[in-house]
Amino acid sequence: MTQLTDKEKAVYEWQLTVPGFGEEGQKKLKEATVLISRVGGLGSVVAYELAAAGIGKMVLAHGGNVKPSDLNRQLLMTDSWLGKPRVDSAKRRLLELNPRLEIETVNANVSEENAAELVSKVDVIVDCAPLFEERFLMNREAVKQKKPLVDCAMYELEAQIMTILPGQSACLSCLYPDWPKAWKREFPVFGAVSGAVACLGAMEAIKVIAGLGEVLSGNLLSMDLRDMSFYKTKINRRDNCPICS
Amino acid sequence: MKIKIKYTAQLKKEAGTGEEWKDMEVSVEMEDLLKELVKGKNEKFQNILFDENNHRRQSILVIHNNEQVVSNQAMELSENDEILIMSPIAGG
Repeated sequence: MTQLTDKEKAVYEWQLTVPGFGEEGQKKLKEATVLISRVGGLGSVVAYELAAAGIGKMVLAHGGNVKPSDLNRQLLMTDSWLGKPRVDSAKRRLLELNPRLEIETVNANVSEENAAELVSKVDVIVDCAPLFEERFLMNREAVKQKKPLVDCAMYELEAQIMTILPGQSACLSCLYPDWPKAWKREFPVFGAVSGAVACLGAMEAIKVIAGLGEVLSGNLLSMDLRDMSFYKTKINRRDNCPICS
Repeated sequence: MKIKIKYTAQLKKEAGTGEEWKDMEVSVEMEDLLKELVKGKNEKFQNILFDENNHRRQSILVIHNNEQVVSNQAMELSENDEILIMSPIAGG
């Protein structure tokens, strides 16, 4: 197993003392590769927290250039980067925080053409896409390739998160067995809501990789920050799920 | 008996409220519950819950006292029970 450098021991000093984590957990993070599907309101914060925690490598997939309307929540984008590729801005900001991090950028969203290859490169996926087309593709490939997937989502002041351990817990198609027709691409969003569930998503990824605590597999954690209500609901696998059964 | 119904996301938007109280029988099937909830609501609300053939959309999550209701078997209700009707979300 890889060793931690003196610099890494110094940077991660305050998390190395977390019970159940320690240097062994830190080494696991250093050896891990995580795919983040879109680095928008959710994915920016997931990536930033994972960079801070010492993940070894990230694959960031997000197409398009930075727009003014991104800047209320996509915290790896800046005003100075308007009109330039989002993934380049994300890489630049993440390396400012953690220059040891290896980053592969893909200036495209997840699609039928790239989903299988992207998933094959990583150990864990954090899905932060705003379209169910992309989410179902990630879910299918994660199940097929037996890679853990953390699914984070939000709307207005609401958010939810579920961790999918293929072969062990319900997948996204168990949760949504038919097409979620109600969902629309444009949605009301505060960056702080995206950021809140993104931090939970980053923590789930850290737990999966390091074997720390209990992950939200088979459980959906949903929250409404308007009244601070939180629900944790057991989600069962469907016997007839076309993806994971 | 009085049952608290809570809505999320687009359902909450179209219902115009995040929660309401309903008078329900002791035992109710999910499909019948959802048909009851549609009464007095707009067409968009109905279209989120039911497809064009008036079949319940499977992507709508129904949570009764923190337990997912997955089939159309009868839910046994008690006074002040809470049922959460969740509309699917994918925002990032």
